[in-house]
Parts: sequence; structure tokens; C-alpha cells
Amino acid sequence: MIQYVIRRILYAIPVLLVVAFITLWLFDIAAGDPAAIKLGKNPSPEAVAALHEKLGFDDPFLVKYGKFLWSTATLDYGVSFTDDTPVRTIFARGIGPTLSLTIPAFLLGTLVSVVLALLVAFYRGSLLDKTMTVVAIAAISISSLVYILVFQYVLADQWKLFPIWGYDYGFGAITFVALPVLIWILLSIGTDMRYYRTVALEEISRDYVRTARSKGVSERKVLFSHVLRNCLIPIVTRMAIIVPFLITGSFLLEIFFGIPGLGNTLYTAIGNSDLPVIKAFTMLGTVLYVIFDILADVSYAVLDPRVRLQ
Amino acid sequence: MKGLRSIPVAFLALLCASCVPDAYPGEEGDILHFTLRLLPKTFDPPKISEEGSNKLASQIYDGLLTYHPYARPYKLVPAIAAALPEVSDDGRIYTFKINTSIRFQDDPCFPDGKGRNVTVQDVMYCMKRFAHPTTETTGWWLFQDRIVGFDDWRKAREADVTKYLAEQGTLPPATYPGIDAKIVGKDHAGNEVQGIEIVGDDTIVFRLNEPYDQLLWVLAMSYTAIYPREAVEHYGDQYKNHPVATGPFKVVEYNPVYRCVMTRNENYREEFVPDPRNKPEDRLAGWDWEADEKAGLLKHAGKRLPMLDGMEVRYIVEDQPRWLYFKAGYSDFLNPPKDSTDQALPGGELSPELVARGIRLDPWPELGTVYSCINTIDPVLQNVDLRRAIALAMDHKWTCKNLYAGQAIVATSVIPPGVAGYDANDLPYHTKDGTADLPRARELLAKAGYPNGVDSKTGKRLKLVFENSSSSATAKEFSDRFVFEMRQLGIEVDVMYNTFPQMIDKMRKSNFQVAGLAWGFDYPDAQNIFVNLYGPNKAPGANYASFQDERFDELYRKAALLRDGPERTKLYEEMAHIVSDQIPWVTRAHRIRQNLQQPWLSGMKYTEVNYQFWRYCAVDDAMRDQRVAEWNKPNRWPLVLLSLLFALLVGKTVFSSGGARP
Amino acid sequence: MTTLSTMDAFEAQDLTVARTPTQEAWRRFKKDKLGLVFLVVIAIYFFVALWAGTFGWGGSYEVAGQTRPAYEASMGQLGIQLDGKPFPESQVPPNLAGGANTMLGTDALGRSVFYRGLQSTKVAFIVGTFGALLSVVIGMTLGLLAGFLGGWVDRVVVFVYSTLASIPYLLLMLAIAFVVKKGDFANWYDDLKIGEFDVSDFISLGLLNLVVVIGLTSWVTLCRLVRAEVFKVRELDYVNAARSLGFGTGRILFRHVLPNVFHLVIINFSLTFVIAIKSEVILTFLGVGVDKEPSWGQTIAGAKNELMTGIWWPLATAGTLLFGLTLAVNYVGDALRDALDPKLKT
Repeated sequence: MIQYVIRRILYAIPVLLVVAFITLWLFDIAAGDPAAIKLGKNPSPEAVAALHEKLGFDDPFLVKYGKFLWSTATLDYGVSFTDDTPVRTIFARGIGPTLSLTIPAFLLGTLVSVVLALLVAFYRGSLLDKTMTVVAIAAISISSLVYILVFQYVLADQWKLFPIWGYDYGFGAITFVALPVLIWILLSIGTDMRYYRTVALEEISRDYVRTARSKGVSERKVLFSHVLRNCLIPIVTRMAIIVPFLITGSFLLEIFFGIPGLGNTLYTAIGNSDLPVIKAFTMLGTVLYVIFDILADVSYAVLDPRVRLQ
Repeated sequence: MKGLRSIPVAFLALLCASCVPDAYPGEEGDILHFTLRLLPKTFDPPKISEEGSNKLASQIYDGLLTYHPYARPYKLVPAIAAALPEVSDDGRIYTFKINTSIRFQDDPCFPDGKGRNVTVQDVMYCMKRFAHPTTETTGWWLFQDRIVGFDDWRKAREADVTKYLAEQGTLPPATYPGIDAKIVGKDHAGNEVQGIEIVGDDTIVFRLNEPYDQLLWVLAMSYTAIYPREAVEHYGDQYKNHPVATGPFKVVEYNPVYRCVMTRNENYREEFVPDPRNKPEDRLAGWDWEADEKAGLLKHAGKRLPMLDGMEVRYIVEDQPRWLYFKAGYSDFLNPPKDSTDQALPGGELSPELVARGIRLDPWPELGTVYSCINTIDPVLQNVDLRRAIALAMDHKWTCKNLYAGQAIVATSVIPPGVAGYDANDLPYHTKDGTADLPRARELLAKAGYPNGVDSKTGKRLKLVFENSSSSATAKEFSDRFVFEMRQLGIEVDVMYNTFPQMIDKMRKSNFQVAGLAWGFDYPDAQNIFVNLYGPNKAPGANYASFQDERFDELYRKAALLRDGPERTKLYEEMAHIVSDQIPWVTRAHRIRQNLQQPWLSGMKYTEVNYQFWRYCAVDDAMRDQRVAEWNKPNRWPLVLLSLLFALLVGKTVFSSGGARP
Repeated sequence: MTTLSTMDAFEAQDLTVARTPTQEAWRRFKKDKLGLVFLVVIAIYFFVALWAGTFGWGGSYEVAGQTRPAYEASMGQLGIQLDGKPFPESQVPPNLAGGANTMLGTDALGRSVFYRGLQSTKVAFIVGTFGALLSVVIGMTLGLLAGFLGGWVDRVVVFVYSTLASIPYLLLMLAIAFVVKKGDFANWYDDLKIGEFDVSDFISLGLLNLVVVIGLTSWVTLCRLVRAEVFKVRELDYVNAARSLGFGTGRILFRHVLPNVFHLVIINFSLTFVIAIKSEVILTFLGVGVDKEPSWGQTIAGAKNELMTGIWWPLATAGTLLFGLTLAVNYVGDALRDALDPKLKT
């Protein structure tokens, strides 16, 4: 097991090297001149040249690549183009608000999805099952931007059921994240519920369920103690895959509902062509993905004794 | 079934969570609420170049001079200066007397935590720090080659820094003071700059290379605000988050991504709302105060500033929430962004719903010009007749009416109304009412060698590229319109959508043909916009059109030496005329912007040249509380209905199958 | 991952022998009446897109307030007769007075929201079809090669997709979009001519960008599935038999292996189609979508300034049309999966 983990980590190193290369290469081609952001109106050509010199704008690509790798290794991506705040500070202040939105959204979303999935799996073929399947597919067929625009306008502005915008760094955050959480659930429930329904149905058709049934165990007990327990494995592995996305957050929800998190930061950075932040964000997302990918495999092995890691 | 019960519980939780809380919990006193469209970046004056930071900093800082809150055309009045400066007859010596009774706010950076009085050395310190290379100001262009010896001083400091870097490798942590103490070792406030001199206890003299009448406007900008050296040294590179100054408010909470809370500065100087009816000395020459009185702006005349107990600013980047926030009463005024005035106010009018709520519309002409910049050194567009044809094919009247929803006037010249040199008369290659003159445009096009848009030499259709600095829906409408206008001439146009930095990059390299731009004035003087057309500033300088015209450059140099007056205005008029004749820019529109105000707000006459006038506002908090409660009554039945429907569906399934699996 | 239960295995033997897999799938698909309805819906959308395709992009530039003959000509190009009706004005709420021009209201430039919504179908189909096609071709080819050849080819493919999958999806899309749309490539593409034929007039940069972005970012899932499936298939008897008969790799791949994984390809095509259409909205919101052609993404992203003042019809029209197509494709994709999956028997 430990050997497997070590091998996976070693395997991740070339992946990170290539991702760093792609990130730097793609964003460098696309980026405009940072002088336009940093120097304001009417900069003198000398000032522009000095800035380029300072930022290493005209360095050969390999030099930039070396610097970028060093930044990744030391987790120090320098300062933002827009206001000279260290990228590290920017991330530190964004992570809390993001998690306060994504963790409740994810937990609540998973809970609702699993419960609904078991429910429709239990009553498969009924009107409820059919309705929920269509509703689930319909829910994921709506563009997230439409959800946000319409829900903010109708639920928050017209019906006054939720705050329109805002955030609270304490427990008051609950009221502010309620509407984004609701939208998050609607966006994910279609996929999740159908996935868990398939998982549950697969479990229901297994031999042990038949055995339990034939022994006279009630249908509910079969579902909620036997089936649910065995469904835990796919649920947990799926969670591990989603965790990186919980940390990077959702930029649309954050900018429209005023949650000062990482998604918000990313959106601002994109608007300002703030390359240090964008690059750091890409690497952060990648590293998280790689870590949790390994964790997902490991958790799979831990939870399911039949799986052996090689 | 335990699991099933959690569904109604979740719904109940949602219902409870859906009780809208107070948007400003625990707030007391008359606090002004407003929203920013852009995130602020810094409170460090030499770096304040954009709207977000400027709006916040203007509440905290004072400069030597400031704008009169109500007088139009704009007038300057003293702030930290005791009076307007004495200017020598040749216009080269400005003598400022400082009001040393003004005190800085209390702050831990001072020895006993109490704010000290402003001294003339503070002014010297701030000027020097502005010019110091390590400060990296974005506004040096305002002072370049203006004050005697100032540029040399800056160059000498650059050399110091280079030397220091060569010896030490890195700069000391705190920017100017640290470096100065270590490598310069001289007095921060001493008379080192030849042209800036402290005389006596409270007087500072600026000596200029050439007359520079705009200096006064520059001294009212945030760039030249006054702050104490102690604060910069105490906070180091964190000063940008901890401003210390003399303005009416001080920062109590600053979150660069969410909000900024300010409270009243107890040391704020004695300053009053102008009371021209009772005090003749408040009747500024050229200010139509009776009109402002009639408009209710002088409701609090004679009261001491600030009437507010504080301000709370929230940064709402997206248009929809910002607008809804205002509608719910959570912000006291709203200035719809430049590009979406038409969407926010269809037809330029308030909806009856808003009128019924007592919301007021305060229109104000923006000091600025929207134009299409043409690259005059482009192989095709160096042809002046082609440029003229393009100008005449554009229908500015239509644009103002439809794309700006009537919230703009046709730009007959580069100079907007309200600035000396504005010329509403018929200029060359511009119809009087701003409509297109297609027959004449086609004639000019033929003269340029492209009859009906086809190159008479090669037989190929002319194709232009139009550059855009944004991909917003509004930018698309403008591009679509330009494509249509050029198509009428037989010219094909390709539109490129860039980000702003990319477009500036292209323009600096003269790698563009036509680009849509707008200029907002930093101060109400036409020189501010002519900088962008002055020959020696050609790309990569600010003159992106690379416009070269000897007569224009000569007039520019001549006007720069003159003080405001009919003689200079005449020169400006002629310069605008040249631009209209040679068409490096097609001037399109001067926008009229709208400011929306809640009924409980008073005393605000909106403009964007300066934001210090916000301190003249007052808020009726009782009225606000009552209205906000009235406007935000929740409507819960839709959620209840939905929950019931779902419960019904579950119930039906559960009971009809009797718990047995089909 | 899944093991067949004994019951399923038993039923599987009971298959009617006479049907080909395609007939069998269709037989099962037909049972889902809603699926059939949605199939018809997709067909309708497709014909609307074809209809919009016959008019070129002409209608997208035309705006209200221009001289009447020009406006009428452009409308005539769309097959719309104004018949002396008054000029549509901007942001008119839906009404029946102006016929189809104002049936669903007009937008900020006075263009008919109804026609624009229909015209946008073309962009949706181009982006969806070609984006998904590119994605499927890449995913399928690499998956087949990796699974069948194994060895270093497999290692390279796995490395490429695990690298790509680990980059945050949105940022990868943005990075590619920036390169395609904003860099030197944009200028090069703009001037690209094959003989006298201007390529950028035919497929605009914005459209090309979306197709490339979707194609390059969404092939990983399919590649993984195909590779895993091929691993299973290649050890089966009939493949070994084919190999022992001396058939070439290509022939074995395409004649014997591909049919076994083709259901994955079809299902994935429908999934990517939906992702493409939905991504168009987000990318347009971020300023790197299509700019010249009418598209739902443009209308929805533009509506963020409109809804708040009560102008709901552009958002409602574009949102509903987009919803209709994605719902139909999602549902049919779901039904197809059930019908094609050899493991699920009904």
C-alpha cells in the first residue's frame, strides 16, 4: 500500500512538470502587456521597459519556466499585478468564504441526492421515480447562468426569500450562502441522484439482498441498512474526486452573490489579466486534483477489501 | 424511514434560512451606504489611478485644493491650503500657505496615538515620496518636466536605488523611508528639490519650468493627497491598507475583496456646507447657487461637516446584484456603469415603480469623449480622405439615440461641453446634427482611391479591422453598428474583441487600424485630452493614432504656456478644428450619466471628476429603516406550495404502494 | 466494476438470436415513449438550424433604425416580409401586433428576439456537433490505440490524459480560448485564405475557438472508458481468433473491437454535445465565446443587464430554447445508454 502511494506520488511529478509547462506556455501566449495594468495612463517607454525587466517579461521561455517551477516548489507566486498583494495572502483570505459555500452545498447536496436516490430506487417504476428522473434531467439541462440570474431576481428580489448579495465572516454566513447552496444542489442533483440511483439499483440486484429478503428482512431494512452501507464506497470515492472543486469554488455563484472567495478572486484575476494569480490558481487546482485522486484510490482500497492496489 | 424525514427537514431549514437578515446588522447612526463596481486596489495616494480606489480614498484624504461640491463649471477651493495660491505674473511661481490648524486623525502610528497638526513639511514629504522611483507611482506623467529640478531629483534617486541594489541585492522592506534613510541619508522634508521650497513655517513655493496652469487641478487629485510620514514608516508596505489622513472619515475595517467601513474622523477640521443665502462670502463667482438651492441641494446649508457618522462601501462587481441591492434600499445611490445606463433605464427614464418609491434621477454630463481612434501610420489609413469618408459615414446621432438610449450628446469636437474650447459649431467632416453624410462620404472614398469600397488599383474590396477592448454585449452592439455603417460604404469590417491590456499592447505597437476608445478627463482642461494627440507622444506613447501635424503641435506648445482665458480657449478651438479636419480620431459622443438617489439621501450633486463632494451628503436613517422594511416583505407561499407538491408526490407513492416494493 | 448477477447472466442467454445489436437497441429505445418525443424535438431543432443555415449570418448585423430599404432587404434575406408594418423598436415587450418580429419582443438593437433565438440554433448545433465530434474522435482513437497496443503507447496516452484531467477544467478552457482567440493565431487565422476563399468568413474565429476548446478539453472521459473496454475485449476469443487469422491491427481494431465500444462513443457524444452548448454560455460570459453570430450564450450573457429592469423576454427565449435542446439531448442520451448498454436487459 505504502509502496503504491509512493509510486503514485512519483508519477505525479512529471504530470505537474508538464502542467506547469502548459500553463505558462498557454497563458504567456495569450497575455497582454502587464504594463497596461500596472502603470496606468500614459506610462513612459522607459517605465514600461523597466517594468518588463523587473517582471522578467522578456526572459527566454526556459528561464520563465524555471522561475515558475521554483514558485510552485516554494509555493510563492510573488505578488498580484493589480495591487501588489502577495498571491499567498489572496489565497488565504479567499479559502474560508469559498469553503463556507461549497462544504454545506456539497454535504447537503449529497445527502439530498442519496436520500432521493434510495427513495426512487425503492419505488422504482412508480410515478415518483419517473417524475424525479425527468425533473433531475431537466434540472441539469438549465444553464447555470440562467439559474443564477433568474433565482437572484425571483427568489431574492421579487419574493425577498433570500438576501440578494452579501457575506458574513461569522455564522451569519448561513443566510447568505443559502441561495447559492440551493442553486448548487439543483445543478448537481441531476447527475448525482441518477448516479446513486444506478448504484443502489445495482446493489439491490445482488445476491445478498435476495438472501436477506428471502430470510424475511423487511424491505426498508434491506434498503437502509444493507444497500446503503454498500453504496458508501462509491459515495466516498466520488466525494474524494469532488473535494478539489470544493476548494477552487464556483466563480459564477461567488461573483453574483458576493461571496469573497477564491472563485471571485479568479474571476477578478481573469478580468485584469492578473497572470501571477491565474497561474497560481491553475497549479493549485492541479496539485489538489492529483492529491485527491491518489486519496480516492486509496480510500477505495480501504473501504472495499476486494480491491488490491498494485 | 428516517432518511425520508430529512427531506421536509431540509426544506424547513431552507425556509428558515430564507428569512432575509438586516443587510447592515448592528449599525448605528447615519451611515452612507454605497456600492463600488470595481474592487479598490490601494489607499496609497501615488498609486491611486482607478475609480474604485479613488472613490474610497477621496473620503479619507485631503489635498492642498479640492473641488467645490456644487459649482459648475468646476471651481477649485482650498482644502489643506489656507487659501488659493498666489501665482506670479509669469505663471511660474505658485505660493501656497498651509492651514496648520488642521489635524491628522488619531492613529497608533503617532507617538501618543493622537493625530498631530499638518505641517508644510508633510507637503514636501508627500511630493518627494510621489516622485521617488520606489514608490512606483502611476501618475508621474502629470509632473514630468514641470517643476524645476524635480525630474533631476527623481533621476538622482533612481541612480541611488540602482547603486543600492548593486551593493545590497534587494531593497529594504519599507519603500521610500527605508531606502531614503539607508541610501540617501538626507532630510525627507528638506529643500532638496530646486523648484519646491519651504519658506518659513507654513508656506511652500513651487517653481515651474514653464507655466503649467493645470497644476492646480493636479493638486486636487488623489495622487497629491497629504498624509503623515509616521504612517508610511509605521505601516511600511501595508500602508496601502491603513490610510492615515485629514479627511472627514477614517477606515475602521478594510477588506479588499468585500467591503470597507469608515467612521467619522473626530479631528476633522471645521468645514461647513456652503450657505450662500446667509453668507455672502460663500457666493462663489460663477456658481448659480440659487438653482442648486431650488433643487434642494442646500438643504443642510451652514451645517458642520460631516453630517454623516460614517460610510459603508460594498464592492458588487456584477450589474444585476448591484442594481437589485439599490432597489432593495441597501445602497443610497447608484451610478449605473457607463455602458449599461440604457439597460438600467430604458429610454433614459425611471420606471413608474421607482418613481413611486421616491427615487430621484440626477443626470450629469460626463467630462469625457467617446471616439474611434484611427492609426494614421497604417498603410491604408494614412490616406486622409479615407479617414474623412469613414468619419462621415458614421451616424453619431443614431448611436446617441439608440446605443446610449439618448443618454449622450453628439460629439462635434474632441472637447466636451463644460470645458473651455468646446465648439458646438459645424466642424469639418462632421455634419451639424451628427448624422451620416453618405453621398459626401462616398465621394471622398472615391477620391481616396476606393470607389464604392473597392481599391481602384487592385480591384479588391477594402477590409478594415476594428478593435474592441471588451467583449461585453454593449461592445458588440457598437461593433455591429460600425460594421453596418462601413458596409454602407462598401467597406468590409472585421471585429476583434480584445481584453483591455491586449488592446493597449496592440496600440502601443501601432498594430491596429481602428479602435473604439473613450477618454475621461482627469481635470476640466482640454490639454488633458490633447496630450493624446501631441506629435512627440506618438506610439508607443499616449498618441496611439501617431497623429503628426505641425500646426497642431505648435498650438499645443503655445497653449501650454498660457493661463486659462479667452486667448487659450481660442487655441483650443483651433486644435479641435484640426483634429476634426485630419481625423486621427472620429469623435462620437459625450455621455450623459445618471445618478440614482434614494429619497433619504440629500446634498449630492454627482460627478466623476472628483469624489470628495460625498462628504456633503446627509442621510435620513429613520426614513431609510422604515422604507427598507416596507420594501422587503418576504413572500413565502411559492416555497410552501412547492414543498406541499413534493410531499404529496412522495405521500402518494408511499401510501399507494403500501410500503411494498413493486 | 460491475459483475453480472446470476439472474442477469441467465436472462442474457435467453436473447432472441435473430436481431442485430442495432435492431435490439432500437427495439428497447422505442419502449421509452418520452425518449421518442424528445428525439422528434431534436429533429425539429436540427431542421431549424438547417433553416437558419440557409440564410448565412446576414441577419445578425442588422439593427433597427437603419434606413428602411436596408432593413427590409435584410429581413427579406431571412424570408420575413415586413408588409408595411412599423419599424420594430428596441426592447419592445412581446406582442402580437408586429407579427413574428415582435412576437417574443425585440432586443436592445431592435432585432426580433424570436428570429434571433431560432438563428442561434445554428451556432448551438455547430458547436455541439463539431465540438463533440472532435472530442469523440480524439478520445476514441487514443483510447483504442492505448487499449489495443498497450506498452509505451498506452503509457503515453495515460500520461497525456491524466495530465490534462488534472488541470482545472475552466482554466484549461480559458487558456486554450485565449490562445485561439486573442493571440497571434487570431491574426493569422483572420488572414488565412485558401486560394480566393477566406476561411474566417466561413467559420468565424469565435466558432472555431469553441469547437477547439470543447474538443480538446472533453475527450478524457471517453478515452478512459474506451481504453478500459478495449483491455477487456482484446483478450476475448474472437479477437484472438482474428489475430491468428493474420488480420492487421487496423482491421481488427475497426472491424472487431470498435463495434464493442461504439455504444460508449454514442453516449459520450450526446454528453459532450450538451457540455458544449452549456459551455458556450459560460465562455461567452467570460468574453471568449462567439461574437459575430447570434447565439443563446450571447443573449443570456447580455441579459444580465436586462432582467433587473424587467426585460425578461430575451433571457426567457434563449433560456427556454437552450433548455429544450439540452433536455432533449440529455434525455435521449440517457435512454440510449439504457438501450445500448449490453449489461442492462429489459
